Amino acid sequence: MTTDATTAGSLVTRQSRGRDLAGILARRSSWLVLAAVVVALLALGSVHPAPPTRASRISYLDSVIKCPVCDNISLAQSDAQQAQDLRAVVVQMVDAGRSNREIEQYVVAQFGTDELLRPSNPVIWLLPICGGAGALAALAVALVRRRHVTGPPAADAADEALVSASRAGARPVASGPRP
Amino acid sequence: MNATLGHAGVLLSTLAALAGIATLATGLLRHRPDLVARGRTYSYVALAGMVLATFALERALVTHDFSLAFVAADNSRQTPLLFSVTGMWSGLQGSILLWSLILAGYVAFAAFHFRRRAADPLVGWALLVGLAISCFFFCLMIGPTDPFAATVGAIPADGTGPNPLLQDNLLIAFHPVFLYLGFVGFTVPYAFAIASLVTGRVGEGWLLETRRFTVLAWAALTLGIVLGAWWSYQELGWGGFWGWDPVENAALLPWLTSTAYIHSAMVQERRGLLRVWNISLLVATFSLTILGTFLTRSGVTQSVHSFSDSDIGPALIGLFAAVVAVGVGLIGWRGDRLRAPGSIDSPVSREGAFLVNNLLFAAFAAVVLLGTVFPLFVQAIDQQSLTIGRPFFDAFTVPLGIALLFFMSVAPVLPWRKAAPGVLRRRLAVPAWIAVAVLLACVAGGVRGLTPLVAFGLGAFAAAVAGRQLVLAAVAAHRRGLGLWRGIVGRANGGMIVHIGIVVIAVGMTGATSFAHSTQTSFRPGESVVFDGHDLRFLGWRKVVTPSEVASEAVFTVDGARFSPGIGTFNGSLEGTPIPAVDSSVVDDVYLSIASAPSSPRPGDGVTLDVYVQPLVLWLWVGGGITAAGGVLSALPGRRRRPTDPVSVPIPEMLDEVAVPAGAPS
Repeated sequence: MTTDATTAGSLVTRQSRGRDLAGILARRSSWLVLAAVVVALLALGSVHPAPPTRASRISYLDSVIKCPVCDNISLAQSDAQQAQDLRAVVVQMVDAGRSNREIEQYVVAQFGTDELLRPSNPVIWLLPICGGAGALAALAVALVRRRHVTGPPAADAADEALVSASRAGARPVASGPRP
Repeated sequence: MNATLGHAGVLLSTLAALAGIATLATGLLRHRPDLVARGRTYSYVALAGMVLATFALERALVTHDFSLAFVAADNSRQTPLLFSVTGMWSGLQGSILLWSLILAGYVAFAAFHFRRRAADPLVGWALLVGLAISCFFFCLMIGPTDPFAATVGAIPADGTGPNPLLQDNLLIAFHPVFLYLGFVGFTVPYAFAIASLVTGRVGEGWLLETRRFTVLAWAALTLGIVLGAWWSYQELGWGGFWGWDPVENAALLPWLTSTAYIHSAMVQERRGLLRVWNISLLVATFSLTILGTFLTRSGVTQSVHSFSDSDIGPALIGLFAAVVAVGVGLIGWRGDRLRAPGSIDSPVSREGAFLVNNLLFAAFAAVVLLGTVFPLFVQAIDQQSLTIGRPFFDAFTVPLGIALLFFMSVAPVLPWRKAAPGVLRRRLAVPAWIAVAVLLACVAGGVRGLTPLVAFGLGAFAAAVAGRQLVLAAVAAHRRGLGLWRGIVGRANGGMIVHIGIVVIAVGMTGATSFAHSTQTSFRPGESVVFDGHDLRFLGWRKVVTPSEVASEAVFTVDGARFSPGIGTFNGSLEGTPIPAVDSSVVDDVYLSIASAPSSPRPGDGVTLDVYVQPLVLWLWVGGGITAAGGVLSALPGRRRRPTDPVSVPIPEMLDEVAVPAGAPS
């Protein structure tokens, strides 16, 4: 009898443990399925982006080339005559089958490195990257250091007295008015 | 007459501010509570002076009193009444007056709001700081930017009128006002932060008490920025709404830091953590509003907003330096009291998510600030000009924005202190599958490209999480016998509406930037072209003449409806200003702007048109509205009125005794 009971008991435990495990797996698996679906959808959606059309290339170039007579304003944003002329040149070069890179090089050769809205100075690109990396490193060091610091100081006699006094006399705190 | 009245108003405000500062300082330093309590009266007098000055300037503008140099430069007899009234902020001097009026209003409102605690040193110091900042702006109007200065020489028969860009669109009545309400509103929390440092009462009290000022200022700033984007979209003729222009960046910077602050303030209220960080964010926010004014008004940067150059640059940069120095100095001085009583237990917790959110916002602000001021430094050191435009900003801000969307989805369901994985799984399951469904619909619907797909999917995730929180809040309110509307009121619920608004903005922005098409086409009258599914037909030219404006309009039909982009000349100036026309719908906008046309076109002439088709742009403005509304809702009192009320569930055996609902007034 006793053995049977024990066996039955351990069986139940094993079964419920198995069910738990299956449950965990089932719960996790729904998330795994979800992750797989997301990855598949993103892969499907980004594998065949439409090849750049003539119009999209022109509007891209118009947005990265600066208006020659303005500050910080792209060709697309400017209605200055010089900008309109340069836009026409860009359209001609696109139609002549030049690549974006060639067109940008031509523009830089004509007007200087400052003519592209994409800054050519490497410092400006490195600063945010280095700054971000530095900030993350500093944060990591701070967090690790904080973990080594022991928790709040241990309760001393005065604290214990306060707690026991409040336990003895206080009522449980609850919201709302009390009768 | 107007000049006298205006000068009197400015002088009255200045004297009131000085007297208030003296009274408060004496009272606070000599420990005289009666003097401290009396100090607040001066803020009412300062407001009265500013109202008087504003009345005088508006009267001068409406009655075209060209004996004032400001009116002669920014108004003409043909200017319609509305644009005469808004003329106050079409020029530098009037803008400073508007700023001062709003500032005096905020300080007076704070004095009134805290009137029962007027003798409290915390309130006294805060009013002192508020009055000192007001005094700076009042003094600007006495010195370099006097709006009531007399016209030099003979009084002209007619003025030159406002900049054409500033008298064509109703939004001028709203965009600057909301922007200023936002900018200036951060003075109050800044003043209280400084007061808390000075008095050493660096706990959570000041933060809770200024929460509504902060949230309302934030909502106004958000609305101001979105309205500005809408305005530039309608007005500037290039189909865009954001150009990473230095002045746009200057408005975005305090928005970023204040958004970070609104989130991290909750960590301090709940856990007492991040005290130094919160005060630093407030100092940063307020100083960035001053820096923004400096960039806009001093002419150091070239921008579409450079409507006025002036010599107040050094004064503003001085104020900026003082604001930063006082803030940083006091934080250093009070360093020992600012230490947090605990630390973050687990990174997978609400406070952990807020911390990451703050780091992302700080990084965002750092990139924008770098891109804005770096060219100035290069120019100053190297004498060489450097252009930083969209490619730079997009490279950093798009990934940061995507990361923010992700944390926006996860943070609202994270519990404080430490999240059990099961809790997270249960709360996120439905929103996650909704996001997958939306992603599937996007891919099936032909949306291609990694960035837009990720943005749409995460947007759906964040919106679903926010929606879930709102539904739960409404159900909980209903169960307690309160109206369902309680589910959208209060900080947490209003915050979720803000999240939905931000998602709507993000979706609109993604649609407009990732799937825009544009073309430049020439038309003869009667010709029609089909572009991107829209049928455009050119009917011909017509001339429109109003008292202030002569415009040539090219009449088009877009899918059958009439739209007339034009070229306008205002007040007889020679240069024409393009006036775009937009066919807006919930799916996409067709934006028409004249690229080139004969100088005085006859009905039979042709036209060259820039056509921009941008999907979902409309949702940017809708999202802005939702966000601002959510901000206001979150400033309304929610379920818990007092932050000291306990939030935990009552102990079971006491339940009979405390059967009254937790939200009942006590």
